[in-house]
Amino acid sequence: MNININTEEKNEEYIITMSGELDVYTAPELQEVLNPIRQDGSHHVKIDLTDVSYIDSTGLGIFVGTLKDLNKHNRELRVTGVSDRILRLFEITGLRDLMHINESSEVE
Amino acid sequence: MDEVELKYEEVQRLTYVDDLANEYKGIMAMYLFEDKQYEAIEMCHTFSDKVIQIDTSPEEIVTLHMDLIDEMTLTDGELIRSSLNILQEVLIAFGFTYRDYRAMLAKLETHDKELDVASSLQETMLKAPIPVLNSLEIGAISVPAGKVSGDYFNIINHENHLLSFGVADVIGKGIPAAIAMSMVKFAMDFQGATINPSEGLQKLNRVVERNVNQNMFITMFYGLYDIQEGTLEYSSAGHEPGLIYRSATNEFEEIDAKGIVLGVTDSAEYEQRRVTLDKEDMLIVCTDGVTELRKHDDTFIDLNDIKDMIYDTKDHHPQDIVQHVYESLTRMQHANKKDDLTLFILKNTG
Repeated sequence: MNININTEEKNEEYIITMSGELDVYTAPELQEVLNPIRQDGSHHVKIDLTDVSYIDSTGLGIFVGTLKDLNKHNRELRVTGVSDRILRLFEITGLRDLMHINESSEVE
Repeated sequence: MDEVELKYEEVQRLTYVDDLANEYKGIMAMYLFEDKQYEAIEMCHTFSDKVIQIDTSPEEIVTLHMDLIDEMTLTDGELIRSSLNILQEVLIAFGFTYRDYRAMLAKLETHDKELDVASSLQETMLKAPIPVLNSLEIGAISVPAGKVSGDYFNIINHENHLLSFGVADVIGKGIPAAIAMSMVKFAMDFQGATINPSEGLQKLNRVVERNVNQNMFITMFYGLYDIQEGTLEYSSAGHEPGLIYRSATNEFEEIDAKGIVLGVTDSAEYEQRRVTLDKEDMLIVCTDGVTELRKHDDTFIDLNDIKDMIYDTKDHHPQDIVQHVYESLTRMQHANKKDDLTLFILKNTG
């Protein structure tokens, strides 16, 4: 299973759009994209999951790590386009309360 | 479509191989007839990089060399001998590649040994014995997908009709996961019976938060069961909801308590709830290897399928139930998408 990752910089925010499945096999690819952004900490991050059908716990781990790093720099993590199945995962794990999930407040 | 592309790629490769054969011939000519020995030797190095990249074998190079001896009509013994310098220079690179390969194998072996250490650590130090008690039956199974599991369960019998248990899933693999698991075990062991699940998770969270690396976290279901009363106090750190099987109605209830996964924020607090198990009622806790299992056709398992498996064997000992469910799950499971599986069942036998 493959994943496509696209990064775009806009208004002090990186917008990362993915399609495919984010699991133990594809997570390293997202990790690689996010690493420099997490270390730099100068930008907010928005991850668009509209075309992501599945996330496993390893994939979720990346959101956790990104959140921790961004919070250290007072930056925010927003996740959009979250399907019901994936939303359940964010809810069960309690991570929904720490991230901005499916909030429509677009900064244009 | 694929076939056409494949053919195209194959043609590409053949053309490339032809080009390489010509390049080799050119190097030979330079070396033997054009008095450019130094340049020829230099060219051998880039040439060998190229042939190794397309997985050419050393014997193919030797064959090419022999063909060229005929093609270039090298009959003079001295000239043939001299041409072998080129062959040797090209083959040296294969020697280096082989040594790199050996070194990598050795590294892999060390890595394998480390995994063995982690897995035997789990087998010996972390394995919780399942206590045999009056009026409570326990069944538990935990099977790793690979050598080292990210799943963990622990049961502590406090001897004063209280029993603590935890079912945890460590996200992150290998040795760091095994270490995180030891933290869970020892924190639980030291906390003793007087501690409530919510307080237990709160303390555990602070330990984990300080110690795990960035992408790692742990989900955990923590319970304190009173064997005399049949009451269960429970809290959850972002773990899959538990199930209660009610024998009076033959129905399943989901139970969950609010709380974030361990290791994300140091100030987390955990809700604690209480539920009572009547005679022949069961509590079932599993990890996402069970609830998110991928079937042969890549679709997800339905929670109702799992309930049915439990229901079919509900009159048996919980250890037989978990074994039955595990075996049924393995049969349905997508071979390449396995995850660690853990199932834990308590049955109040009155």
